[in-house]
Amino acid sequence: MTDIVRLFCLPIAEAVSHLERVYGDELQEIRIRAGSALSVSLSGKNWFVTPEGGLQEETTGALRVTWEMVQSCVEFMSSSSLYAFENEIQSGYITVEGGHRIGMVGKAIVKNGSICGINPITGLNVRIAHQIRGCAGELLPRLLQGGRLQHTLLLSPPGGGKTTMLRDLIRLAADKLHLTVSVVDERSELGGCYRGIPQCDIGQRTDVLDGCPKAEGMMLLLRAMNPQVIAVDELGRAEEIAAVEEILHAGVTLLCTAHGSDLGEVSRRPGFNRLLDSGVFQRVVILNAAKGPGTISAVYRWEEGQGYELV
Amino acid sequence: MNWYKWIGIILLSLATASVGFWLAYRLDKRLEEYRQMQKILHILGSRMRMGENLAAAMESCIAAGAGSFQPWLAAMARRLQAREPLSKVWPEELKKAKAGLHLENEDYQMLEGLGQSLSRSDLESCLGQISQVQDFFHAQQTGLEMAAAEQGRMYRSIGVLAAILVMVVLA
Repeated sequence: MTDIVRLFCLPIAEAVSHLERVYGDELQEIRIRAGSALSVSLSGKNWFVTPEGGLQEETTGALRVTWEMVQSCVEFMSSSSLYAFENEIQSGYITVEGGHRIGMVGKAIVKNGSICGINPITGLNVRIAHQIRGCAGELLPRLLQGGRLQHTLLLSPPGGGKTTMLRDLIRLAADKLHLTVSVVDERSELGGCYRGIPQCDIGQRTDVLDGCPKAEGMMLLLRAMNPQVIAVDELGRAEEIAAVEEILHAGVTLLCTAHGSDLGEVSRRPGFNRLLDSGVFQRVVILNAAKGPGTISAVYRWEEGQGYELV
Repeated sequence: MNWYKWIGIILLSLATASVGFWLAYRLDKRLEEYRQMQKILHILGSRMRMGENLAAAMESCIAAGAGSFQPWLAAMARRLQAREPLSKVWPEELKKAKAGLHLENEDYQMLEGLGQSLSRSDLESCLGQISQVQDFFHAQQTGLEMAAAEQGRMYRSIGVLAAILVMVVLA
């Protein structure tokens, strides 16, 4: 996380530097809004930040962010090359070196009904990349059958830790199981790619297709990279489900995530019911944030003729 | 006393000759720099269109041969890689680079304006700005080419005449 301070202009960098020294990995988000006080999220709680890096609940005495500070930060974050992030800005965020994701708001520029840019940018949310190596160590053996990794779906509500868990599963599949893994990283969340290079450790046998729509990406990887495992985050759209069904017949193992708090809820979503009723996913893992993000709530195994059973 | 007079005449003639040749040299250099700048802007624009960041695009310009602008681009690329903001780096390095360049004040003003818009604009605006500056330098080049044909000859003639005068005096 040592590179995080370099993303900010001087007054903010000084405060963040102090926070980084004192709170380290507890620091999750830094919010910079023109005309408002600098705020951070520490272990799920929001605080305002003083110019010296102190935390408080009141805005009085907190570091007030100006429009110029936001513009300077944008310049630092984009290495003075905002134009190079144009496609990402259309999605509302950019990923910078270190895998940190920066959400942006301001005046949206809309053409033909879709957002083609944001100018001026007046608010930033820096989500600091945290990789928890080994968090899937306990889960991995439960996803194996006869030494072979099974098609797996990770479910959790937002903030439940499914992306973090999937990232570590990918790393373990590549490094421990020695499998060739291909990842479609549509939102640069799994690999935290910066200029196409993963900033997170996702294993030595892993190929990442960054910023590509999942459905097209899965088919491309299948044709081009000869993977043993394909991993995607946040399945949901009909075309993605269709791509999954096609991949299943190609002898590739799937590692996926989706939003949902239990099997019943997900099986009511269009497309997923077909996948779950036919037992496409041999393992379904339910995660929640009860004891912190990534808490394993249940692991289900598909049994032919009996449906999903708790492992 | 006569000697002093002759030495004065010789020095004056030599100075006139030097000024003539120096002015002609400056004109040639400026013309060359206008051409180089257009080439740099063209490469910069194409690299930006390919999604390269500014530091990498500047290095591409250097690799393609940036002539007198090489030290300026190299210094900027180095500082941008160290995550210094372009709004600070561009004017500072342009100021330093002026000593080794032969452009006019209006040319530097145009370049300063370009630096202000490159770091915070979207691709379309950046490319539009680059294209505008490219057109400006092309117009400068065309204007100077016409003037240089006459002025360069005049400056060199003055230099040659002054040199002949020195020879005659010495003879």
